[in-house]
Formats: sequence, C-alpha cells, structure tokens
Amino acid sequence: MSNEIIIQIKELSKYYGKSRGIDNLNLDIYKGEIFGLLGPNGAGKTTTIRVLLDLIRKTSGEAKIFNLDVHLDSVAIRQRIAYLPGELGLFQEKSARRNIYYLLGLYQNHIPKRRVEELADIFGLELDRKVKELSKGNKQKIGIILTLAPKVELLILDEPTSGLDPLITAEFYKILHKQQEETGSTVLLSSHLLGEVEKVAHRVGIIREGTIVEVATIQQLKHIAMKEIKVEFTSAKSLQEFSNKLSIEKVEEIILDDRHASFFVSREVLSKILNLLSEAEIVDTDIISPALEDLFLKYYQVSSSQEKKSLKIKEVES
Amino acid sequence: MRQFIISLKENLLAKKYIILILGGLIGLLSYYVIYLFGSIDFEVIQTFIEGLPEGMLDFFGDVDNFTSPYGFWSLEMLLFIWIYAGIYTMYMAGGLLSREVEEKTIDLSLSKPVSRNSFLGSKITFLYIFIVITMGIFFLITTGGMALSSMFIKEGLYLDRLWLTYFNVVLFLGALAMFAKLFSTVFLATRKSMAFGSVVLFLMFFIGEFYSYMDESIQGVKYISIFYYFNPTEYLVGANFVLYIQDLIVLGSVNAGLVIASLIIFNKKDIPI
Repeated sequence: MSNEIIIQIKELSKYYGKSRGIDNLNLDIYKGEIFGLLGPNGAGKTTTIRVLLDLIRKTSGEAKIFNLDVHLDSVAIRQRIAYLPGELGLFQEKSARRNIYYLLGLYQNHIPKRRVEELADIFGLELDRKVKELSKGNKQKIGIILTLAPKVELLILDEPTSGLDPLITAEFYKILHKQQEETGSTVLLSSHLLGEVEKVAHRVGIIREGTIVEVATIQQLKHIAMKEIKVEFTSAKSLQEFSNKLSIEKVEEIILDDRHASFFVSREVLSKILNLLSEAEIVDTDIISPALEDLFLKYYQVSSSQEKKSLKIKEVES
Repeated sequence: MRQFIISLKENLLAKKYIILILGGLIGLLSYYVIYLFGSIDFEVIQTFIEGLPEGMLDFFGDVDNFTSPYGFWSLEMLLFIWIYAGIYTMYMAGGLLSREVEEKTIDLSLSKPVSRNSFLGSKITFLYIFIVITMGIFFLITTGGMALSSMFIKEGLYLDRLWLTYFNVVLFLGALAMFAKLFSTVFLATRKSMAFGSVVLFLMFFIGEFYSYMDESIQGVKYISIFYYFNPTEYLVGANFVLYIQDLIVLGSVNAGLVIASLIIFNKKDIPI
C-alpha cells in the first residue's frame, strides 16, 4: 500500500430532494489497499459509489479518482476501473458470453477472452447459456467475471458475494486477493457482511447516516473496541466491595448478579481494573476481545445509547 | 467512437428480425394496395367524391388524392404510416433507454468508459437506422410494385417524387420516435414515457388533421403538430416541392431539437437505483 491517494472524497453530499443520501462525507483511499465500506442498508454506501461512478451527481463537495474529477473526467476514470453493482442488471435474452463480451468490449482494450474462459472455468459458469436461465448465484458470477477479467487499477465492488454459496465466495476472495497482490490494484469493497470484510480488507470505513464515522485498520478498530470482563466472586460481599471501587465513568454496561459481574472496559483502564481484581476475592475471570461485529453494532447503537445512558445495573440481591 | 459503434451494433443485432419483418410487412401491404388498383374504377370514385360535402373534401384534400393511383396509394399507405410503423417505433423509442434503467443494465454499461452522449447517441442513431431501413424496405417493395403495375406505368412512374417523399416519411417517423425518446429521458420509466408519448401522438394527430374544424382564432395551434408538416400526397400528386422543402426543414429542425433536448436532459439526470 502506498501513500498515493486513489479515491479522494471531500465534504461530499448528495441529497435526493430533501432526503439525505450522503452528508459531508470525507474519505481517502490509497493505492494498493482493499478498503471495506461498512454500513447497513440506507447508510449511504451505494450512493457514495454511484457518485464516484458519475451515475448520480453530487449536491456539493468534491470527489476525485486518480486525481481526476468524477464528473468532468468520468470516461477517462471508468477506463481504469471495474464495477460490480449490488443489484446486477444483465441482458436477460443474451447468453452469459454475449453479456460479458459486449460489456468488456466497451473498454478501449481488447476483450481478454482467455481470462474470461479461465474465470468461467474456475467459477463453473456455462458461458453459452442465456442469462434468464441462470440462477441468481450464476448471474452474480457473470458480474464477478466482468470485474476480474479486465486489467484495471481500481475495483469497486458493491456487495459482491450476494447470492453466492460459501465455496464460490471463498474462491472469489482468493482470486481477488491474488490479483490485487499481483497487480497492486486498489479495491473499494462495500458490504454489510462484517466477517467477509474483516478477512480481506486492509482498512475499514464505517458509514452511518451518510457520514463516515470511523476509518481504521481492522486491528485499530479492535483496539478501539472495549473488552468485556466477566468475573465470578467468592461471595456476594466480595462482589459488593469490588463494585464500590468501580469507577462508573470508565466502565460500561455493568451487570451485577449474586456473585457474578460483567462489564466493558477500554484498553486504557484495563490494567487498573486488573489491579482491582487482583485485590478482590475471585473464583474465575474471563477477558473477551470484541468481534468486529460488536464494534460495528456499537457505532449503530451509539445515538440511542447516548440518549438513554443505558447502564444496566442490577442491585445485588441480598 | 468504438463504444458508440459497439452499442449501436448491439441494438441492431437485437432488433434485426423486427426491422426485416416490419419493413417487409408494410412493403407487402403496399404491394397489395398497388395490386388492388387493377380492379378499382377511379372514374366511379371520382363521381362519388365530387358528391361529398365540401367540409369532408377539405378533410381528405383534393379530389386528385382519391382519383389518381399515387393519391390513393399515398392516402392508404403514407397518411396512416404513423399507425403502421409510427406507434411501434414510438413504443421502441420510449423503452429503449428506460427499460435499461428499469432492468438496471444501464449501471454496467455506464460504469464502462462510455459517455452519456455516446450511450444515448447510439440509441438515437439506432432508431434512425431502424426507420431508414424499415421504410427503405417498404419503399423498395413499393417501387417494385409500381414498376410492375400497368396503371402506374400508364400514369407515369414518378419514382423521383416517391423517393423524395421517403425522406419526409423518415423525418416524420423520426420526430415521433424522438418525442417518445425525450419523454423516456425525462422520466426514465417506460410506462410514463409510453403514456406521455401516446397522448402527444394523438393530440398532434387530432390538431394536425382537424384544425380546419376549429374556431379560426385558435387554428394557429396547427403549427405545433408535426402532422401539419407531413403532406405526402401534396409531394406525390401535386409535385409541390416548395411545400416539400418547407416540411423537410421543419421536420428536420423538430428532429434536431428533440435529439439535442434528449441529450441535454440525459446528461443532467441521476440514474436511479
């Protein structure tokens, strides 16, 4: 991964009338990285991608790919990118082969027929069958071939494995990884499947209500995330003594029950908590690192939790 | 240019049979009409027509329109060409872009290095080629029919007038198609495009054909109808070349205006998800 910025988005907004598509979005994606754009439906992932492809026009802000304006230089940009849309629209009456050759023929370069055949073999796609006769997964394979066959510098993938079985999904990511390493291409991968993104992405951007709320590597995100600590005390009295020493500001979601306690702490206060625990009379302790999914959910629950200040504290029943 | 040609070729390949079938069918209908002339007594028709009320004659035009083989053929074939070919061409023009949006094929096409002008331009060019070829087949068969018809030979073979009229027919159908195309770019939805296209077609037909029955103060409305600029019988029977040129210029301008408007609108539109 180099320092060269491939996609540069500054204060980008897109409104459909009064409704928000994206709002004041900022993002830099660097050459050679696989960047995962994470967010649930309606967060603004597809809108961002469609602005980048000049399929829709921004309301305000700036978006550049290869340092070229996505609207003014859209044709030059699209010569260097491949796109796999979330909802793949293919010509139903034509064969898979004709769909692929027609669409790849729109690039200035020659159609990489050998590569198409090779990918079709890997994914088990019958090229001469009409698209309308193919299953959703097989149609998606056409989209994947359209994305992986041309030699391009940037791949934009919007929910690329939708409809694919786990084996083909794994094969797709394997080829994507290999191709990305060989060519040094950049990948923008939009998904709501955290597990997939976690496996392939170098960095992740979390988008919420049209704005990027966090950009970090997977490791950084996990580092940012709070750890869950579960403790079993020798008696209710020990638990009571321990809970009295806990600083509520630095600990979240405390649940105290009989001799058991569970709570979330940030890395900064982890050592202090461990010190406290070492002085307490305990039977057992678990320190659980968060899954990316938990972190992801936290970003989406943050607004409601801020309102409710929902620290769940159950008083010790004597 | 390469993308333009690939896109154009794809459209032509998809509709190649329709082009041949539509052109052939209209051509054969025309051949049949010419063949029927052998059994028509034009003198009887002339007597009948001269007995019609004046208002009715105004609607149909000159008596010669019915009593000469060219006039009769033009009346049967060209005045109704908007039904034989126009409605289908409008239907196709209305759906050619909006169907791509509805079926989302446009997302893949426009994510390739194709400008919107090139993308829409190839579809517009296809529509004109479609009209040129279908009408070309129709006029070729007609030419053959006329050349074999003793009645037309006796009347004189005015193939120059016939083929000049061909250009006017192409522009007339082109204008109808471009109205549908314009609505297609505005709405990017097939049903809406069809609905608006149909309303405009019948409205213009009504105005263009029935304006003489309207109050004199509002008869100027006829100028907004392209049917007013489509007078094939005048070119064929009356050899009215001044009117021909005038109509050609107006229809050409209407076509050009609609094409430019479609391109401008399409360039500004968001492609909906």
